Amino acid sequence: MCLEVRKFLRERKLFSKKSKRLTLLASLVGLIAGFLSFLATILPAYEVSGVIRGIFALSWYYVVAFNNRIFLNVLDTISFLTVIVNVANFFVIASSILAIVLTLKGKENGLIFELLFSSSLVYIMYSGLLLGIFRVMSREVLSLAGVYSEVTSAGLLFSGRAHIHETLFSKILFPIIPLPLIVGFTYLTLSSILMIRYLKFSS
Amino acid sequence: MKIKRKYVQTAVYAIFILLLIIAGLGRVVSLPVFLFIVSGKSMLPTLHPGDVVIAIRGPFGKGDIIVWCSTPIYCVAHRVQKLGNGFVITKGDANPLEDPPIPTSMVMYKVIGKIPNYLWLTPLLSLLIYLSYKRIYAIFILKPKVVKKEKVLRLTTTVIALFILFNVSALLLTPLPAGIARYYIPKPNVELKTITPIEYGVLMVYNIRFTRIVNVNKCVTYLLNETYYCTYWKIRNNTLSLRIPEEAYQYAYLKGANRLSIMVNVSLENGWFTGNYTIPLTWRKLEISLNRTLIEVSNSNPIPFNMSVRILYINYSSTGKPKLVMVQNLGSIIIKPYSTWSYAVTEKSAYAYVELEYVFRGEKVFERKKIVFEKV
Repeated sequence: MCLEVRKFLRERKLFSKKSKRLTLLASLVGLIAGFLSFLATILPAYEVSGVIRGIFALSWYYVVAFNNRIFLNVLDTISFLTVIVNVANFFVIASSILAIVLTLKGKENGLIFELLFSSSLVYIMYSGLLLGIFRVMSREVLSLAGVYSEVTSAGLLFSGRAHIHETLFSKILFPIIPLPLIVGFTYLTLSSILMIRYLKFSS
Repeated sequence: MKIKRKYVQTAVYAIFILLLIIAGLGRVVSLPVFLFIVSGKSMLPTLHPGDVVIAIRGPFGKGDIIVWCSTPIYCVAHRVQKLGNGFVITKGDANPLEDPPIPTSMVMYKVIGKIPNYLWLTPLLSLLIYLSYKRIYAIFILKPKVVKKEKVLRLTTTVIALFILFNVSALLLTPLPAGIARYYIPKPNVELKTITPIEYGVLMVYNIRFTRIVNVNKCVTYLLNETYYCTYWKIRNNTLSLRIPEEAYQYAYLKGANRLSIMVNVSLENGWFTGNYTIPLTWRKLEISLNRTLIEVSNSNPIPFNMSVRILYINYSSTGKPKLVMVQNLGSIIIKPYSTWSYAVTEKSAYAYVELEYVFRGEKVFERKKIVFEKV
């Protein structure tokens, strides 16, 4: 009986109102992080004008060079890798929604903390991949800019210029410290607090 | 029943690991069979991103899709365009340009078939979502609120491990190729094929790719310190014919120049090009020919020549000695460039001499032709 009471009190403390609010906050941050990361993959990051016209997002691109639509191997591979990042994003979003729904319904469960913690770790891990492929994409897209001229047997051939513009989305989402990463670390901090509390109170 | 399920599970895991080994190891060593996930759109519409390509080791020919690997992690499945001595040139069906030539030793497999992405990706994702839902439902709805200490972090570890495995597998199967975006851009290219002097000008034939000649912006002939602008030009497909003003040729002739320089600025559909070309000038003496009583003088130079013509009619005297009967002076005749002047000498004596005199490159040229009239 005494054990039952102790267990009840411990559970009450673990699933207190404060804890509930923290769980909701963590889940909300997780949801935002997941959506931000998802948006980062679908919103255009660069625009190219001039002899090469195109628009580049991580998961898709459209580029016309000298009136020919072209496909670039690196960007194709990046699009493919973005699917993997989005699987992780889907997991983060689903975990957050699940945590919110269960918390709001009053069906608290210790495994929610584990789920939030694991999804925040997955998020950080995949943010690294996201930033990596974003850097590769930037390098690839920026290499398209410049003057297209060469010397051939016919003489000096000038084909035109291509200019790169970073879109507003890219400026917002990928400043020096990328926004998805900032939100991701907040998510990790909150879920870690919850996880520590859970570890402390678990039997 | 439990044992059977365990066997099935083990078999599924074994197949999955075998496929991963084939896909991963097949890039390093040449296996009899290889699986390759298409990640690009360069082979559209034949291969789509996400398609699993089934390839075998074996001989290949022109038109076959082959898998070549430049590094153990970077492989490409493209169609064979050309087969050379020790090298292969491939091209993606959707690519406007061919790949750089690769040594035959880099070719690892020949593609024999594919599993379309919708046949494996959609069922796999659906299965994963279903299993995840089932698992989550079991964990969160049926399990107690607080798990035992030894079971804590089990979910975290599982999730992290699964995602790490997923990440590593995906990165292994779809490595990033080296960044050579500029190479695959169909840049306009113009190369000079031939340059031939023609009447009053020059004919230039170009090899042109991904563009076309639109107009000639500037055409200038440079000769010593003088500049002459082209008077006319004509564009026909890859050919450009330019007309150089006659004054330029006359000046070149006067100065004894053997070549002249042409600068052309040509606008293309995308951009322009500027070329400086040197054209040799060949000055030829007038060609004088005689056809019975018809005398023909041809000028194959781009400048006119001033020629004086005189006909001497000669008869034989009673003693058999030649006797000048008449001298016909045709005067100064201008032989136009690239033209032929002809004159039929009428019979006025037994025979006649046609004397032609003109100046060629500062020296007097004198030619005499004999016409013997046939006695009727």
